[in-house]
Amino acid sequence: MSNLPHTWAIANQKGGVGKTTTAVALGGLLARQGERTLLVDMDPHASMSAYLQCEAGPAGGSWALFAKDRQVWQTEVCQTAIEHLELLPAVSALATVDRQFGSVPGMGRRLAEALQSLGGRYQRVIVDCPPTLGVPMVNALAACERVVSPTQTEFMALRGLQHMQATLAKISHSLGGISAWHVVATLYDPRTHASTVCLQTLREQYAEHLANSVIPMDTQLREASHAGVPPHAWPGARRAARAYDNLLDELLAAETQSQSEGAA
Amino acid sequence: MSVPSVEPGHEAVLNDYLDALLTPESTAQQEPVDTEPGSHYRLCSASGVALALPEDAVESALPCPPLPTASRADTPWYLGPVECSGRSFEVAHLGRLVAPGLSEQPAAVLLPLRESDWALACDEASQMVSLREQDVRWRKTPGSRSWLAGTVSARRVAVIDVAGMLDIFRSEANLPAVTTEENEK
Repeated sequence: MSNLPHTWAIANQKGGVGKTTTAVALGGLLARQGERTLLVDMDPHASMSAYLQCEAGPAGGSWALFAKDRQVWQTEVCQTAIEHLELLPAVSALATVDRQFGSVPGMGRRLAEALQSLGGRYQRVIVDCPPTLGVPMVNALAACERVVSPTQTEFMALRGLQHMQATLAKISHSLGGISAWHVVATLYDPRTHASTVCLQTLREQYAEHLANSVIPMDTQLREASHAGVPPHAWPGARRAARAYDNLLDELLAAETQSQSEGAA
Repeated sequence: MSVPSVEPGHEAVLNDYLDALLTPESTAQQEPVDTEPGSHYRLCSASGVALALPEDAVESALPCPPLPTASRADTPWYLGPVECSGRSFEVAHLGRLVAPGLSEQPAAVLLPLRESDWALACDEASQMVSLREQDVRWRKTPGSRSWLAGTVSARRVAVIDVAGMLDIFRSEANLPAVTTEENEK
């Protein structure tokens, strides 16, 4: 049996759709189940690092994945306040990775190579991607077996999803393989026409990829992030936490199905 | 999975970019000069100038921390002591030293120089190359730019004389003497 951790990338080429919240929510739930989980913050905004109140060390957190010494990044991993949940934080310098390494062959595989060197240290890795296509996102997409694209239920988010779909097709072409893709409707507010129409559009256009679970608009998610705890651990965010719990069940079921199909 | 139609030129550029990033490093094609035996240099750029530093003289490449904005009028390249990776470096702005007056970008990379307290702030330092003796037009007589060891016209790169550069630092920044290995020429 492979020692490689199951790796999911949380990605959408639009900001503000709930990527970081989704990454923390799924990571928190997996850790609660006792799975040793590593969150990787690949976004120069470092929102996930701020959420979980972890700061990068001297080697620059996930920036160190691109350093000459390929093992130094492991010294940057920090334990969060949640048992079984560790984080490789981000730094603003990640924004320069494309300028520095965008023309260097093989730089899109650094995260995948790093995860291969971990042995069985983690069972799960969840990568929070920046909203722009570049070296950090390519690394996440090349390393993962499953891409989860949170999509705000509003018109502009559909455009971001189209870009994401195109990117995934190109990455699959370059890698010669394809990751499973899950679209997750987020920030859903049934009281607004825009939300209901957008959700319907997602169901029609992305039926094959759309998760059944819909993450509702829940202002308590902001309170959870302010407190630095995953949604499931914030009593006020029960609605959203339940939705994320359902989403995790769906993703794990899809993973189990893929494994049994692969074994057959 | 269908790909929405985009400008073919854009698509080709993006495909090339992704293909290059995802090519395993072990099979990635190197530029011809890199396959030749020679001395190893780290390519970097500062204020738009391409420079080559002997690899032996550079400790590592670190993400650049926030740098002081004020500098002395007589030595605008000297940015003062900066904490990075748990150490304190005397930082020189490489662009201001080699190309004073050219437009600057915020420094992204800090290159600590081996066996010295100095580090160079530059825009990027991503590639390593091998340069043969005959690739470089070495300076035969020292001029006013004692940091310049020679030039590689094929690459439009200036090769840095690290010992000469540290001499400038020592003499002009009015700091305690520093030591370095002799720059490999």
